[in-house]
Amino acid sequence: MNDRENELIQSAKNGDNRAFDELIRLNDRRILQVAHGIMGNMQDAYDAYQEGVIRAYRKLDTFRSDSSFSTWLTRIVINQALNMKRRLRWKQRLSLDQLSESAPDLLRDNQATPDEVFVTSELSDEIRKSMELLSDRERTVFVLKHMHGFRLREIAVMIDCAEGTVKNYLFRATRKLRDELRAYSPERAPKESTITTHQ
Amino acid sequence: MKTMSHSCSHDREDLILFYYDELPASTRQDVEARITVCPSCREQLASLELLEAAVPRTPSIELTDETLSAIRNATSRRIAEAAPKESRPTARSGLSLLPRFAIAASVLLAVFFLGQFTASPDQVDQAFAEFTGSKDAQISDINFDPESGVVQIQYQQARPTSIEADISDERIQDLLRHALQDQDDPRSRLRAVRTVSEANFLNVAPDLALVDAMREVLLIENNEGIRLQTLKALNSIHVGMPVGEDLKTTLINMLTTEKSSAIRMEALQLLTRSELASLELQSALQTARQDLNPFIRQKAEAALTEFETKTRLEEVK
Repeated sequence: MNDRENELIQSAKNGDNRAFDELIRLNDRRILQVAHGIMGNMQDAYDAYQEGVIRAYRKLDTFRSDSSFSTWLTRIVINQALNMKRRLRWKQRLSLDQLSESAPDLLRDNQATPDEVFVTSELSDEIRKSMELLSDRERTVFVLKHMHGFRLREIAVMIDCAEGTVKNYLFRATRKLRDELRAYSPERAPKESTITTHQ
Repeated sequence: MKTMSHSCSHDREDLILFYYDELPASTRQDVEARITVCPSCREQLASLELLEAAVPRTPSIELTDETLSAIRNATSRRIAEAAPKESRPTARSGLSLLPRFAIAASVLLAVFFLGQFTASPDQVDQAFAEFTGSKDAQISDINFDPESGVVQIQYQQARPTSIEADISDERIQDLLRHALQDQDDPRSRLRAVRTVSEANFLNVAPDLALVDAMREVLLIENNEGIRLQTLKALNSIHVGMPVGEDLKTTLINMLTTEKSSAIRMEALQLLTRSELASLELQSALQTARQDLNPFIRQKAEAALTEFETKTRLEEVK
């Protein structure tokens, strides 16, 4: 953690909102992208991000310098995102008719607005569907590692589990996606190696 | 002669960690040595590279500065509202309403304008003629309802006007074509091409002039996102249909000149829907076999193999 960041944290802890804003601005693009990777659409990613930021603001006093502010904030937003995913799944299990007028937007996963699509890197539908087959934690680890290049030890802090567990999530996610990819495009899949022997 | 499956007993998880550069130097060297001698390990590594080709190692969304700025402003407001921390316990409930409010507001606005300016059939005809002939009328939104097949185009005029028609109506297809070619705002061009793509989902055949306009988009459009969406739309249109000669030439050119691998991949997919007999296409596929992207290399290889198989079968006949 650099001196400037320390200074901002101290000022924010003393009630300086602009310092807190500045800390958020140093991290917001990446954290929003992580939230998008977990949630699958920008509207839910934005909700998770903002709830996470407000939560971080309220809990700033509890921040200790045993991890970077960035890692700490990412962890809070990831928690929000995972909780939101759980809530959404629970809502989806209920009858859609029971939901409020405003809820259908929440349920339209991956229904990005044209503007969002405009700025979204294109993942094919098949790959998106494959990503949806991953558990929330597998997807989170995969997004953090594959798309954002975090080290496994950083991810362990972010999702609050052991590094070995992170590895297992990564192995499972990678295997599932490879298998899906193989099913999606058998002609492109690498074949099992064979040995030909003469008897 | 007997063929048996060979399962490599090496640690596959090591390969994943190797691929993600998470191995200590000593283990990394061991794995590197193993890869050089073990074909099965090499295949496993290649399958990870295929994964990378499908899911790029970049964030799933790019945020424009404008979007980020809007988010920052909204977040700053929420932070200000949340202070002092203990005295504003209900601030969070309002927080989740913010983005939805913005989205809902735009929808309400559209309904409001529609209510005010819905026209008679004669006026609709007149409006079609007016907007088809005008290159200056700027579109504010295009919506498509897949259930009813209705396209709605909203124009940003002194009096905002909305035109609705079934996608099979040639006049609305004409407006979409103009939107693709003449709109200054790339978002409008993108919405137009997405509407074409979605409409085809309903098996509505687009007008040939519209298809030709899309080919022109591939040639002149600067925005990569729109070129990619146009290719996707053309891919959905051409399911079970051969690609015309002009479009084929454009695609072959894109296959060798486009920087974006996603675009090259879509172009290749569309090309392989066409007849493979052309020598020009075969030559392009030979080039694609050397593409940096492993997906494209494999797809090109598969297309060439298919072509050779078909040729041999024809020779046997």
